Amino acid sequence: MARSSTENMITLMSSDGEEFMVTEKVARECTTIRNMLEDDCVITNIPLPNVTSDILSMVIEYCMEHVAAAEKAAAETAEKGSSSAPAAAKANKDLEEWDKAFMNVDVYTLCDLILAANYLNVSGLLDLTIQTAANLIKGKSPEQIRKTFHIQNDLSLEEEEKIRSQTPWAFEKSE
Amino acid sequence: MCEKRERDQKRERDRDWSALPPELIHLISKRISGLCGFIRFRAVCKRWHASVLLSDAPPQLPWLLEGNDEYERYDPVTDLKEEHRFYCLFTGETGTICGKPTCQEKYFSGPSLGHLLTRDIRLGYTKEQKSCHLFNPLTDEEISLDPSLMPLSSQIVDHIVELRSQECFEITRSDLYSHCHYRGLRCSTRGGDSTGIIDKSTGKYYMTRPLQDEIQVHHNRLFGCYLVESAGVILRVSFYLETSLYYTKFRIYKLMFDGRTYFWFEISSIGDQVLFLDVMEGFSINATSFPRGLIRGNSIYFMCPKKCQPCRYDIERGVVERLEGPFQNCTWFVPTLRSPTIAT
Repeated sequence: MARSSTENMITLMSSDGEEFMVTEKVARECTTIRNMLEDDCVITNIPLPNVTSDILSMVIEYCMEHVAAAEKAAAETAEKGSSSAPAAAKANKDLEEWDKAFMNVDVYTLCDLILAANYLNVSGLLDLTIQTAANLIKGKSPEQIRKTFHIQNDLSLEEEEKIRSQTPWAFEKSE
Repeated sequence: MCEKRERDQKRERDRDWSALPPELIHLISKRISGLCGFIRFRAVCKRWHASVLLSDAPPQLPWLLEGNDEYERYDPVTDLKEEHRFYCLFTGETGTICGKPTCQEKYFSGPSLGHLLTRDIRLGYTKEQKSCHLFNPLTDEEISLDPSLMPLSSQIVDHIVELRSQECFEITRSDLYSHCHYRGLRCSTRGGDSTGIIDKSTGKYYMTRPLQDEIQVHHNRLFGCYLVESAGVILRVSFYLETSLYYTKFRIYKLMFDGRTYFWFEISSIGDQVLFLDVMEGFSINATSFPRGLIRGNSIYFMCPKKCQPCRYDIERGVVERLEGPFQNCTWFVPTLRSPTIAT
């Protein structure tokens, strides 16, 4: 991070007009922004009309953490000549723990993060949020899933009955 | 304060899980481990239902399917029961499927290609070729296997012929032939024997030498051998069973060609592949095609022949671990929602 002062800074602007200054390296974690920078290298101010400030600050936090972890690993490799397997495994585990703690959010925020990760094309974050959503669904009945994600059941009784009768074995233990 | 609540409420309206773009709903559905979970996912709301098709179901890990209580030892044929309990060792999913083939006097002859091979016993053995069916108990779909009418895969024909010739009673695994068909090669063998290989493109016939390891009786007893296609190669898996399950060993050989003939070459690892062995047959899957942590590669899942209970063999360490299943006398069954399709 010591070199950051000499690095290019990019300003990202959220839908509600808040500005975030980040290093180019952090901004490049978002493939969408990386593509913009590659198309036009003088661009320094990027409006992101689809992302609110609270969600954008979380995406930036995620990108910064992952850039820092990658830099640390690279520095260690350079210092010792080769990366030591146990240290790399520990760093990986630490990052996984960080991700896990980062995912301790309500389902509304999770939904926004999925949309933002998809829009900004942050593959690691999209992967993490999608997996978190899948984990919340695991082992639940349709009704429990609706409750967890605050989803209205808009299926008619007939539609629901039809779905169930196609594969009754899948619903046996769920309710 | 009031303003904040209003803002929160507005945001909650905006952030509607049922309104996610279909491609993101689809992405989530692909991470659901287990077929039951996948189907329940589709029953949540209209949009989730429309975004994910039944045919989008990801590949599934095998279930344990319960056989008959009066299951004969080594007998792959189980009486058709109205209901079969299933349990997945990997996802913990459990339930009951109803077998409702059109004719009640049928026998399940073990799983084949993700379907159950059923035999109609009323027609007797002479007409049996016409009375074999592939039945998918998950969709109730059934197709008749009539070799004279259908371009059957030779694997199924062999399977049927095998079932008939053995009559499936009081057989041990090593008496059974194992077959493998892959990329124009038809191989068949049995424990301690040479392997016959037909190259269908040239019509040439090859025969490997019997494996010395299998012939020489060591401390272990050769229980049988399997030919399994795994990650593009044909493997021969020798299964040595000891009186104590914990001394059970497997040896794995890869089919190689030296330009003149085929031979077996022993290997010590199968990488990310996982083998599933049944009384009748074996198949291979790749652990990396499933969500991380669900299943470990380089291992063999097999049935302890005494009670048909599932066990796992760690190839690297050479150790057996008994797995806890809710029932005995079970068989591997790869659940699929696809219609039976016959490869030629």
